[in-house]
Amino acid sequence: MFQIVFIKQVPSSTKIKLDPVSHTLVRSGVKMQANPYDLHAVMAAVEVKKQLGGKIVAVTMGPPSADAVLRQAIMYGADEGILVSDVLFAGSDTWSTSYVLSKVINHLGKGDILWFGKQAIDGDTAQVGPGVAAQLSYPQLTEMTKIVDLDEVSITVNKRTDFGYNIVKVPYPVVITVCKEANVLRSIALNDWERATCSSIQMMNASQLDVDVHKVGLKGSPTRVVGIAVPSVKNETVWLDHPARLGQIIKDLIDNEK
Amino acid sequence: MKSDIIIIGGGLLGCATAYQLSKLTDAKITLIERKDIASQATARAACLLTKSRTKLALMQMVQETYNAISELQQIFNDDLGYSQVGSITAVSSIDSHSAIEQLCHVASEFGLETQWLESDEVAAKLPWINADTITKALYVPTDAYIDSALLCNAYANAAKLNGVSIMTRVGVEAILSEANKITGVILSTGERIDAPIIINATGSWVNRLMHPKYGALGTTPVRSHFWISESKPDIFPINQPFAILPDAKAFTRPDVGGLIIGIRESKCISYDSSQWPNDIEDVHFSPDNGWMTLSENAALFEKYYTDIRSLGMAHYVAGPSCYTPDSMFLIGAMETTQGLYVAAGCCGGGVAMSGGIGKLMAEIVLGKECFVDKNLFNPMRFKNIDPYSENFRNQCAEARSNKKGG
Repeated sequence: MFQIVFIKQVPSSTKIKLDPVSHTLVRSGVKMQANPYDLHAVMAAVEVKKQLGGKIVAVTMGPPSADAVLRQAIMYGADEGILVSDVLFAGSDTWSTSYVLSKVINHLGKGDILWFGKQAIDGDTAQVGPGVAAQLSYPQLTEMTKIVDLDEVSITVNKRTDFGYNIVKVPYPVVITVCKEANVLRSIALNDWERATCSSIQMMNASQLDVDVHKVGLKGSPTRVVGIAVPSVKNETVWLDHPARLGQIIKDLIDNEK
Repeated sequence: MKSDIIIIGGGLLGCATAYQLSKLTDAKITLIERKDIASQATARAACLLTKSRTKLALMQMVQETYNAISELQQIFNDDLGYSQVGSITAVSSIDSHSAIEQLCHVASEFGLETQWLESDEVAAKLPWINADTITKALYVPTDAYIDSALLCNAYANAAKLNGVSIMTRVGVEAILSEANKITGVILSTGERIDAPIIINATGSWVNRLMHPKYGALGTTPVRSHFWISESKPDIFPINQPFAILPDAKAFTRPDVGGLIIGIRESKCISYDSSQWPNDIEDVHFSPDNGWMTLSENAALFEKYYTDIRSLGMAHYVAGPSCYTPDSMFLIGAMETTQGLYVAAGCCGGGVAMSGGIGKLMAEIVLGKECFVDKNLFNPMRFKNIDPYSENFRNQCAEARSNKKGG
């Protein structure tokens, strides 16, 4: 089994800033982490590897500092990491990112299972996994909550839908996106960290992947962000000195609505 | 707006001072906290209430914390996460024998119940430990730990019951004075509060409001951190004593079936607090989540617990401890300005010392006889220092690196 897990580096804090010109996240100086759903995807891959053997490769696309999330994936059980990084990729939207990642998969040879977290906690689009499936014409199973069965040719999973759950059996190759419910993240030990720290991370850039430069980066992305507004948060608390005041406040609110 | 006394900082030292002051005076006291009570360094403490110390004055201060905890438990009918599990200080080198014997001597002088343990007794109390490596172990059965955030909030709430006004989510932008006398503060809202007495208990930020106008305080934040292991209640029972292992530069404490492991690096990291954000959530203490430190120090700890490298770590907690070059606190009046006081430099003992520091601060402010020698903690004892300089910060970091106790 050849499994590829895609990891995204996301901000740890909710105190994020947006570039006013490109409308993309300002990542410099911000504490970063691996997208939590993606780590559940690594755990799912490890579960498959325990039964069927093979290799797990973790891939991320991002700046050079994103190698930290690959090492995190290795701590959880990935065998090696690939950092896809090029200034040409900066500002890529979900479709452009899917295109680059599909090129990575072609470069590595066909993967049996391509794992993604169900969405990233920064953009929340849930589009890159399905985007890769579309680029490669692979079947896709989104929001997996459990691996039900597994053999050399197919996987059966429980997946969440808008109306409940479906149990779906699909042959390889397949793209699967993973929910948190799929497994419990194990605790990392010092041995895991030392192994990950000693692992070398393979770098890949645009020329190695033979990408069409017109399809990547901010300019190559079909998405146009025309505006972003940050909702104002008011931490205003009014303490009532007497319960009777509540009635008056409700009355005032109703009157204001009229 | 007017107040008789303003306390700046809603961490353990500020809240304990508010509580102890409110027991001794009817003066109008206002405590101001930029964020929420117990939201900064207080919430990241390992919470050991170690009674045995190398100096009697420090033992008296810890005892005041135990007294305060007892009062607060009665007021709120809440145990505040207090757990009397006892402590074991265990050494494995001849070099450490004299230090542990001195510790026992001071503890006995203070009247503290202590007991020397044989290695099989240590193994029975700490199932995970390799007792063969231990050559001497001192057991203090009455030692405990507590939930620092609950304790801090209890101090604040008890102070409130005694009439103290607590203001949160508002910062102090400046301390005001005229003719070398304190006159009040300016808040982040632009509002002014007049007061003749101000106590600066802002922890890592203590120099920001003082230096250079009112003098430099000899303290700087130093990284303090610990790990919480995965739950293994069979070898980490929840009622096991906490352990101090000076030869491993480490301590351990039970935590819901897991083990808290704190390690002091041989070279601790200090910070220039003039550059700090207002919230420690925004301080990047350890980009590697502390793994490098654990890796570098595992060899020492391995003698006590051979499986340290394969033990899963569920959590990593890092925060600032404000150290001074001599590891003694800064409590007292700033001679530069009448009415200006400071309670800072907890040196990793803020939880255990809080009640004592608060009481001493209250006695100094009110001009009462002090229960310990206040000169030990003179906040201006470090002369001609730049608290932000690398040289001074290194001295503070070294104080933590050389610390052996809990």
